[in-house]
Amino acid sequence: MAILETKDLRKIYGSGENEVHALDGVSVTVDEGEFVAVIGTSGSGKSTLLNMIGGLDRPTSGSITIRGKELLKMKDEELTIFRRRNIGFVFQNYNLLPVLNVYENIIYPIEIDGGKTDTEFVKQIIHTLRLEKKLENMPNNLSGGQQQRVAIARALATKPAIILADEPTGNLDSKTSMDVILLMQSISRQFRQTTIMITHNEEIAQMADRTIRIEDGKVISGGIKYAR
Amino acid sequence: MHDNRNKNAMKRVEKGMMKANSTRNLFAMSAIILTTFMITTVFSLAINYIENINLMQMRTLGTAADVSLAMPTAEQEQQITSLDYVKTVGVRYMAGSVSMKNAEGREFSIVLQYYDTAEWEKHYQKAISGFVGKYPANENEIMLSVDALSQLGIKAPELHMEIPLSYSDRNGRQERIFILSGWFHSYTGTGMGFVSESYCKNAGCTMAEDGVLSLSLQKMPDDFLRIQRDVKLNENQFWDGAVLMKSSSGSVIAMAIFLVMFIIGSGYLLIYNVLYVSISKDTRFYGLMKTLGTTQTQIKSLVKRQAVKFACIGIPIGILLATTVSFGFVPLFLEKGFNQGKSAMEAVVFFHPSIYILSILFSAFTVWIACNAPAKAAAKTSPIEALKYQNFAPQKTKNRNSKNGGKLYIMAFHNVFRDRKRAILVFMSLFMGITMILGVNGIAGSYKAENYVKQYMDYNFEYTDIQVRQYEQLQKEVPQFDEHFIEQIEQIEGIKNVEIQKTVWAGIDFDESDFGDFMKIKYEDSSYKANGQSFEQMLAGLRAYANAGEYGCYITTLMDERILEEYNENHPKKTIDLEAFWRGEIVITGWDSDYNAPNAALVGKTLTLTAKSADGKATDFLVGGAFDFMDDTNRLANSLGHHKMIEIVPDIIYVSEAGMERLTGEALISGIGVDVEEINDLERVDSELQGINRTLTTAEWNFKSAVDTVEQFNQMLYAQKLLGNGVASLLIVIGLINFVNVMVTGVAARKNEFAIMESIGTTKKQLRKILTIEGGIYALISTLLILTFGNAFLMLVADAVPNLADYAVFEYPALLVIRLIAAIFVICLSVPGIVYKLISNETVIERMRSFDN
Repeated sequence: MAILETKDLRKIYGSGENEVHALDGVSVTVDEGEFVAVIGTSGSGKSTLLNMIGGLDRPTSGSITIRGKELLKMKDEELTIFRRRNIGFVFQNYNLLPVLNVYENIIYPIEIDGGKTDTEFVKQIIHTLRLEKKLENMPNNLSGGQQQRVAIARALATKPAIILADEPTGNLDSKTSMDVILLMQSISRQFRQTTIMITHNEEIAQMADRTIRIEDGKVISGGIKYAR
Repeated sequence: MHDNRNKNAMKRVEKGMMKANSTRNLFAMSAIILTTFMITTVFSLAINYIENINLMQMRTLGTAADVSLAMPTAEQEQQITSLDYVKTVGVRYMAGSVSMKNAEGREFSIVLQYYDTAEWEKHYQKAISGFVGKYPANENEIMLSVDALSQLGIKAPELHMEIPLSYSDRNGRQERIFILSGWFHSYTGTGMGFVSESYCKNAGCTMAEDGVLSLSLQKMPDDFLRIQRDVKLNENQFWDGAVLMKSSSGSVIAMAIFLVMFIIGSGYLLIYNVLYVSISKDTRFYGLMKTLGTTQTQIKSLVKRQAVKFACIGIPIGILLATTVSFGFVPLFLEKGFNQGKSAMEAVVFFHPSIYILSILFSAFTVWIACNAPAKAAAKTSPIEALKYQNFAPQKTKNRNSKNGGKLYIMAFHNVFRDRKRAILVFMSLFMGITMILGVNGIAGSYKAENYVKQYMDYNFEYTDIQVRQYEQLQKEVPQFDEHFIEQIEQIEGIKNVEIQKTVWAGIDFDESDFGDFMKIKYEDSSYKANGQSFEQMLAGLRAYANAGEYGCYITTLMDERILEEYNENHPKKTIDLEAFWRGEIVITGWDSDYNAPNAALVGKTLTLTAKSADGKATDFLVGGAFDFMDDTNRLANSLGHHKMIEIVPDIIYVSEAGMERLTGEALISGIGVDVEEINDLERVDSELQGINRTLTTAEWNFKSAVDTVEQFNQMLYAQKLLGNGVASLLIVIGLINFVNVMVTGVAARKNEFAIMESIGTTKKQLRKILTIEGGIYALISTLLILTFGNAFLMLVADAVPNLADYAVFEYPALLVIRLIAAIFVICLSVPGIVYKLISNETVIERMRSFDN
């Protein structure tokens, strides 16, 4: 069953001669529990697509539906709340909050939602991501790979509908990159977690269930799931 | 080592940066303009204030000379003229004094003098204003002060007009018609008249008898001490030194320095913050520059050169603005105050190059220290770090064992203390600003007209008979006030009490044995002894007075009953029998001092007094006590004079009403004290009293009103209050700017962090809540500091206040404290939210990107 569906998404920057079509009629569907990689060259529009899906940016036209809810009809405040309950972000530069320690960073999205922390679940994530010994550390004291693992844990903590990862290995060396991707893959399977990951690394993309290829703001292949 | 041969490239980069950061340029420039403006204003106000005070003192003294010596001998004159530390020597002759009565029968007070060219040009002209005409050259020419002219009833003087004068000089009484050669405005309070050199020559004035040498010295007060050592004086000569109030200008300078330091601190914070935020924003850019091979020194100088550019434009504009204010607006205010009679100080604006030199130096210093740290930070950016860089707000590195850091209020708390240095700066600037405001206000508030009146007047309205307050008033005293007059006063609505002082002169039977000890003590400190006369010679003189019926003093009624009670409390060993006093059996003599107490020797003796009145007869009184100067502070009593200037006699004898009745039924009403119920009624009662005063047909009386005293007080403090309020408002502005600045930059600096928080689901409402709590924490801690350390500081101020002026009474500015704390809370709670709203208009991703690229 499709957990995410975008229809004819367009994003136009500038006007007249300077008009740039960052997204040019993108339609994509993703099923629950799927681990999808979006691949494309620099400037192809993959990050723009991810930001649209995450509600961080608004498209010029088109529609985005997550768990049957139409994102573009929501007001800002509503969208933010929808985001914290349904979407987990993993950024290339980790974006951890510097005033919070590792544990606090992980449970932050739950806290701001006023929800009760599912301690067992959080423990499980922490264990899976091998962060038990780092819980009291401040982000500044962690290596890049460790910071990214914390970011993944934070994204998972609210049990979101989708995890959106924007080049999660972009700042990591190849060994650590592989480590992080394997973790994401295993989490996707273990928790049946829908994950959309941007990368420009073919090898990493191969580890996903499906690869969506984007060029010049258009989906070249993989936009819709076909039975293997 | 390779030279850096890329100056041109750096210049191009600098140009580009200046162009690209127009908003930052505007902020930085404004910060520098504001800082310079405030520094220049403070310097200009302080220097002008000191100069004006000095000018006012010089004008009141009536000379710019430092010391003078009356009746110098030829040798002294020669010696003084040859001293190398004597700058100018002026010569004055006391030519005479005008003794005429005007239409109301009041005597004139116009002093006639001759000043030589040096004295007139170098010493006197500086102390006067509005000079018209020329100094008299011919014998019949005269020049008068506006005061003197108005005493003569001349309102519109004209050159060469005739001035008929009856005056006395060394040759006795003279009548003459002078020709007016000029006039001027003097500030000494006495009428001044100047005559020519030829007048003095013909009148036979000589240096040794009528002359005064007036000197300005190189260095005061050192040279004053030197000349006292170097020139030997005769017995009756003394140096008259005009010592200026150096202590007052000292405190003004100290205050100005403190203020300037405070402004430098605030200016530093302002400029530093603007530059720091801009550099943090450009971290990636600096990293890139380094990657491309720009050295640390080059980056540092890149930042500093931009700061210099800002300074080159900002400092002159700031100085220009301050000049407009201090030369345009402030004098306008003072002038207006002076013209309306609100200020005793005329606005004279001084152009002092030092104001500008100091302002430029201090402003440049502020810019330099403010750009130093950001320049270093820019230079130290590592290319690798710069690429990863997201937040310039400092990162915590120490581990923390907590699980609730995500709660909004705890996050807010951590945010406040994330940069300790910055937090301390905010607290300090808020705390110091407000404490200074409280201090300045506390001091200003302690100068209250009400306290001033209390200190300098015993009653709200005082009537005095001036006949009994003069020395050597030998004519028979004429009653100035009568019972009917008193009744009229009593009938005015709102009068609390009317107290009457009665006085009569009485002869004292000169009993040498009774007066023995008294006379011995008096002799020790008398002019008889100083002039080398023996005790016996003095005694012979006193006997002569006694035989002529002139040995005696004023007998007056004690006005205030509390004085006696206080006396008995303060002197438990020599209490006065109050009942006997009120019955009129005993009298009190005065006045003694700590080192000289002749009157005490009279206690226990019986004096036979005979009032100089129709019903006066010899009456015996026992001396029941002796007052010293401090025992009766009522000015109506202690201003009484001597009928005949006899030194060895009690200065005064106090009796009760009953005692006065025993002595005479015809005592003069010599003083009336009137108090009102309500201080607000002062002006109304004043005008009613003025109305009654017009019914008096006599002229030898004086009326002192608290209304005038309040006015005099306001005049005296007009300029000071203006300055105090100016300083206080400046402080409020600085405090506010500091806080808003820190809040704005604090929020702007975390723009990216807020965007991240939003991206993972923190709503704008929650973010605003965090910021509001942060503001609340700032407000709370500042309030705590104000209530503890601030109050401790105020206690120090309260301690110092009585030293500032004898009438100053410190009052805790409670209302102001409450208002300021309320203001802090309003600002602290609202500003961060407003700033966040302003910066959060872009979408989350735009804000996150603005730091990424």
